Amino acid sequence: MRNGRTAYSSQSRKKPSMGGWLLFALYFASLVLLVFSRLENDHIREVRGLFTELISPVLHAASQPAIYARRSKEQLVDYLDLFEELDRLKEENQTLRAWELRAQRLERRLEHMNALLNAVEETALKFASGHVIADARGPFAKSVLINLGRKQGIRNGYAVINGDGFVGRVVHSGDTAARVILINDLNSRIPVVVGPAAIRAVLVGDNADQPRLEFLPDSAPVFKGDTVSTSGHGGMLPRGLQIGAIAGSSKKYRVRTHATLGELEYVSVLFYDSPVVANQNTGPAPRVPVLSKRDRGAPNKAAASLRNKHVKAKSRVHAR
Amino acid sequence: MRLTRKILPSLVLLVAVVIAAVPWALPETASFILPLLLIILVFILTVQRGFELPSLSVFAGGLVMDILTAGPLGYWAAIFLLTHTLARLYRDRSAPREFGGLWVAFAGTAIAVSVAGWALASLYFVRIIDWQPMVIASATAIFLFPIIAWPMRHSLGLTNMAIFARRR
Repeated sequence: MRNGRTAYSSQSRKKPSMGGWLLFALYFASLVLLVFSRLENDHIREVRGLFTELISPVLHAASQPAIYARRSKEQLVDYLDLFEELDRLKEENQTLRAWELRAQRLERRLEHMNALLNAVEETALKFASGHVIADARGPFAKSVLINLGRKQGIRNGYAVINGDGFVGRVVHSGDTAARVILINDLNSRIPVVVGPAAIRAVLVGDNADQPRLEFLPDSAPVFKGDTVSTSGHGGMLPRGLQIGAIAGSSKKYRVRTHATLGELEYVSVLFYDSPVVANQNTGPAPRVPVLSKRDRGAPNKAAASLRNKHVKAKSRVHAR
Repeated sequence: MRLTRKILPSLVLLVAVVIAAVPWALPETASFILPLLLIILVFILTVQRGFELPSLSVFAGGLVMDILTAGPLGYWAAIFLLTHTLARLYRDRSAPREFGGLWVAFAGTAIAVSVAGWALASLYFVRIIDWQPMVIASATAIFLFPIIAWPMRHSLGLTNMAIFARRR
């Protein structure tokens, strides 16, 4: 045994020089890559995109069991809450009927006023729906990978929503997959409007669960529960996409997002081409989107379509 | 057989990296858990005598993780390499011991790696990164270590705790 151990020790004494140098080289390579990433080197971005593209079919396949497990769990919880849910839905239905009548009346009034003003209709929006195939978590990023890419007409900068509201925007689009930066990511900055007074602010991600509001004017009439939606300023995103509601104290407002960012499953990408985005994107124009609607209020229709796709429409959604 | 012993750990690591990137719908506070569970894997595959996990595979696994998590290239590669280095130090310098000792060694490694990861992330962004997810993740990794290490021991076809001990 002693001999064996001696033999092993001598063997391990020989190896470290080679292994040690290799380790040193790999540490060095890691640091060099970190520096290049920090400098946002184009080659690094290209290689990353290429690799993501290559591995997306594997991720797509690997995500299926996770999605199935999630749905099974949700179905079980739904089943257990069935009677309680039924009572709640009946009650909600009564409230919604009242709202429906009110909405119809308002719609007629709006049409009449639009006719008086000769108002121009909003630009129609197309959208494509897909699902999340990879979930990136860590100290650096809050992003997801979706199974839609340039082939479906996806371009960088497009807004991404789910059944509950705005969740993020596309930052890199490959042929068959795209990376979506979420609104709570450290690098996310979204111009928004807050509350009925439409006060302008910027929604800033800091990797926390709830993004924070910045650049609110002093003594702005902002209250807990006020809705937050995209303002459309800067032309990158369509205006009016619902994001969430005000939470936190007056000194440090945060936004409780309608969408549960950690549990994204189905999402829709809105084909909103502002002049800024159109100049940045050099890829081919979208041919035929997976799902398309040409209508006013297309973002809401995309959200409604996603809602139908969800296995459950839990109280979290309706409670709003 | 020898080839299997060389390739299997790298393959296991690669598959685990892909599984960790799949959307498991974990809460935001637990967002760091899955990557740190891979630290357990790197640690076990390194200290285990029968198999060989090359540094190059550890580096490659980290790079794949970086790409899938959309983080800067080199971050997880460096973290995995640090785990690998600490595990090798433990393997080469400590006497054969029971599972408890190994657990303690992993706890030290997990804490060191978490601190290094937090420092690296803070340096990268030139700001103090939220440390709470790291603490939660390292505590979870330490707590889950036996649950992952024991099945691994059996799945790799070894019969006693000597797999973690020095070859005699």
